[in-house]
Amino acid sequence: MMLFSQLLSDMGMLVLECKPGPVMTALNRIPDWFVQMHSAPLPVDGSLDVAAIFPFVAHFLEDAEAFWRHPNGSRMGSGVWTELDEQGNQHQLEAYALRYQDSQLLLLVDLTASFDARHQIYQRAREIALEQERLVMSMQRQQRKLQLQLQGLLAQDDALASITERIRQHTSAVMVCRPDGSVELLNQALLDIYPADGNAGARTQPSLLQQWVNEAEALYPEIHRVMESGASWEGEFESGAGRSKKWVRLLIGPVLNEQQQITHLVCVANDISGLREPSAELERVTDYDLTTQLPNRRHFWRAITRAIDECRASGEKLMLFYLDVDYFKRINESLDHQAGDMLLGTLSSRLRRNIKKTDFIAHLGGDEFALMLRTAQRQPDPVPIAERLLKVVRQPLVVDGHTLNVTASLGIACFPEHGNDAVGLMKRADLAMYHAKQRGRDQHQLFNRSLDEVFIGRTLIQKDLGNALAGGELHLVYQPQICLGANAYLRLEALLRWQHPVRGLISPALFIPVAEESGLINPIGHWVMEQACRQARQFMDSNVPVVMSVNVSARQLQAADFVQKVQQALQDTGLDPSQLELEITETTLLDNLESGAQALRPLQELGVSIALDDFGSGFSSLNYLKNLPVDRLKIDQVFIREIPHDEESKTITASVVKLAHELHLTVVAEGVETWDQLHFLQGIGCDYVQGFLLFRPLPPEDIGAVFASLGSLRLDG
Amino acid sequence: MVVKKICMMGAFAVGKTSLVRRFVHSIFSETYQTTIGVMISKKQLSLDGQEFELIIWDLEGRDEFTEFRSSYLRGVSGVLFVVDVTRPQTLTVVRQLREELHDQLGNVPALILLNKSDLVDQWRIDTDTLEQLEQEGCTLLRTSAKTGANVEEGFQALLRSMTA
Repeated sequence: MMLFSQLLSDMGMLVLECKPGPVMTALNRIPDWFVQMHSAPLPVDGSLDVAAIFPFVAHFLEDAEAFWRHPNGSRMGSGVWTELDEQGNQHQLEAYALRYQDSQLLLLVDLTASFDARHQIYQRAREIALEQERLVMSMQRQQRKLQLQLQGLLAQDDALASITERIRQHTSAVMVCRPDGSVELLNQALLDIYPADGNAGARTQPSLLQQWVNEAEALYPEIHRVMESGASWEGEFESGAGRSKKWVRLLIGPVLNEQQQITHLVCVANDISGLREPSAELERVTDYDLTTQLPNRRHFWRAITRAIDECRASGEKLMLFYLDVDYFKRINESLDHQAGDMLLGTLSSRLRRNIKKTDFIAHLGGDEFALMLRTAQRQPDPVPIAERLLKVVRQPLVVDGHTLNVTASLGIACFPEHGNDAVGLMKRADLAMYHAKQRGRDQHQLFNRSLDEVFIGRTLIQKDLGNALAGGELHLVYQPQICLGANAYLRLEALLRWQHPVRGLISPALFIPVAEESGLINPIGHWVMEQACRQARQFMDSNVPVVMSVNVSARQLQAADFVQKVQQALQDTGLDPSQLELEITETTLLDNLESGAQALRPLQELGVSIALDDFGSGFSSLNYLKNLPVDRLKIDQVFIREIPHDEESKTITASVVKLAHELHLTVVAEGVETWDQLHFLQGIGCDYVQGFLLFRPLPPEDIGAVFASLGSLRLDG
Repeated sequence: MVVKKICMMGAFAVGKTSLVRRFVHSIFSETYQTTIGVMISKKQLSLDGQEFELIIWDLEGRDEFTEFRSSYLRGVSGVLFVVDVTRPQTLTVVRQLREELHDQLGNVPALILLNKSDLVDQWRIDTDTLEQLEQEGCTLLRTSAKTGANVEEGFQALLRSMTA
C-alpha cells in the first residue's frame, strides 16, 4: 500500500475521500505540487479542506455530488484549470469525481508536465486564426478605401473613363454597374474570379449583381433592405457552384446623385477562399486526432458532407461503417489510459492498412471509428467488408506487455438507400451499431427500416416516460405468490404498469430498459418502492397480512442513497420491514457484487428479506449465494416452462430447491401455467408458486378477495 | 471578508488574462499566451470600508476549437466582458456571450472593457456602435492592460455594481 501511495503521489495524483462536511481525507501521500500550493502546514491525519484551498474545486464539488448520487459513467472530469503556487509557477490541474464501492472519491491530478503539447496546439491554432483575421481586416480596409475613391469620382462627374485606368491593375475585383445590374465597367481581377464565357471582351456580366444578392441573402437576409436604403453593404459568402465555388468578400457601395437617387453601384470583391479554408497547419492541429493520427470528428463531418454532395452529383454510392470497440472502458480502466491510447493507435494502423487509400477513416473520439467507402454505380455487398474489418480487430493485440483480445461492433449504412445526408446516414450507422452491440457484440449489422422503427419507438418512450410519473400514468398491480404449505401471510410481487394516454398499456419489457438506460429508473424505482410499501400497509390495515416484494434495478442499488430511500419509504408508510422483500437479479449484481451486498446487508439486518430473482438464467454462481444476504430464490421461468416434458429442466429445478433448502432458503417458482407444473413443484417441495395458473397480476382492490379465498384454494387441479 | 466570484469573458486574444495579471500582479507581457480551461486568481479589494475577496475566473477565449462549459458561470456575481478594440468581431462575440449569460442567469452585473485602447491608430470600433451599446444599457470602459489604464477602475466599477 505504501508503494501504491507513493506511486500515485509521484504521478502527481491526490486521491481524497469525501464524506459529509468540508474536510476530505487524503488516501495517498500528498504530492509535491499540492505542498507547494498550500502555505499552511499539512495536517498529519491527512484531513484537508480542499474546497477552501481551491475555489475551482468548491465549484466542481456541486457537480461531483450530483455524480456521486447518480453516477453516469465511471468518472466525471472538471476540465483543466490553472492555479499559481507560492513561487508564481503555474500548475494545470484537473479534478475527477469517482465512486468506488460506497466511497465518494475526488481525484486531483497535476497535468503540468503533459500540458505543454496540448497548449502548443491551441496556441498555434489561435495564432493562425488571429493572423487570418488580421488579413481579412486588412482586405476590408482596402476595399472600403477603393470604394470611397471610386464613389467620389463617379459622384463628381460620372467620368467612368477616369476610373478605368485606376482599377485596371487593381488586385481587388471591381465592377461598376447600374442599379438594375447592367455593367458599365469591370476589371481583369473580376474576370479572374468569374471567368467570362467565350469572348472576354464582350463580357458584361449582366447577371452578376443579381447572383451575388441571391447568394448572400442566405447569410444576410437584410441585403435587399440595405441596398435599397442607399447604404453600403459588405459581407462574406460562398459564390458560384460546383468546382468553381469560392468564398468571396464583397462590398457594394451606392453612388447617389443630388436627388439622392442611386445612379451606380461600385462593387469590390476579393476571393477569400484561401482564408476561409483552414490552412494546412491549422488543419493538422485541429482536424487530426493526436492519439491515432487519423482525421478527427470535425474533419469527418466535413469529409462525409462533401462526399455525399459529390456522390449525389455523380451518382456514386457510399458506404459508412461505424465501428465501436467493445468493452473499451473496461480495458481502459483495468490497464490505464496510456495503454488504452496505445490500443487505439495500433487498431487505427491496422484498420488503415486494411482499406484502400481512397477510402476514408476517422477516429471520432473515445473508442469510435468511422470508415467511408465510395464506389461506382453498383453498390458492393458491405457484409464481406464488415467481416474483414471485424477480423482485423479480433487479431490479438500486445499492449504494454499485455495480450488483449479485442472485438468491435459495427454498424453499416449506405447512401442513398439509408440516408440522404450526412446526419441521417450517421444516425442510421450508429443505430445499426447499437443493434449489433445489443445482439451480443463482435457483430456487424446493416441498417434496415425496422431498426428505425425500434429507435423511434424507444425515443418516443423515453420522451413520454419522463412525464409519465408526474402525469399519474404509472400504477402498480400485484401478483400473488401462493404458499404450497401453510402460511398466514400472502406474498405479493408489485409489478409496474404504464397506461399511456395515447398508446394504451405499454409493456414493461419496452419501457423498463429505456428507464434503465436513461436513469429514469431511479425516480420511478423510488416511487414504486414508496407506493408498494404504502399499499402493503393499507392491506395490513384492512386485515390482509401481506409480504410485499419489490423489484430493484442495478442503478437503484448503486445509488448512494438507496438504503436511505428504502428506510424512508418504510418510515413514511409505517410498514414493518419484515413485510418488505427486495427482488434483485443476478445481472443486477454482475458488476458490483460487493457493493450490492453492502447495500443489502443493513436492510436485511432491519428485517427486510432479499430474493434472488431469475435464478439459473444468468451465471448462477454459487458465489452469489455464499456472499449475498439472500433469503429466497426465484427459479427462472425458462425452467418451469419446460416442465414436465424436459428432463433437464426438471432436474435443475429439483436441484435448486434442494440446494436452497440446505442453505435454509425458501424457493419460489415463477411462470407456473399448468397443473402438471404445479404438481411437479409440490412433489419436489417447492415453497411458493407464482403464475397465471393461479393468479394473474391484480389491481389492489382484488387482493382482499384473494386472501379470503386462500383457505379454499384447490391446488390439486 | 465577503467573497465574490467574477468571470472574465470574451473572444480569444482580447487580453482577458493580461487584464487579470495587471490587476492582480501588476505585470504585463506583450507575448500572447492562450488560456486553456480556466485560470483562477484571487485579489482582495476594499470598497466603502468593506473588504472583499474577488475570485477571478479567467475563462478560455471563445472560439471554434473548444467547447464552453456553461456550468462555469454558476454562482457568478459579476462578469467583465472584454473586447479588443482593434478587432470588431470581438464585439460580436461579446454580444453573443451577453445574450447567453442573460438566457442562463438573467440580469448579472456586467461591464464591457474596451481593451487595447492604447492602440489608438488601430482602433476599429466606431463610436456609433459604442453609443448604441450604451443605449442598450451596457457600461463601457476603455482599458489598457499594457499601460494599466482603467484596469483597477474596471474591477472596482464591477464590484460597485455587484454590491449596489
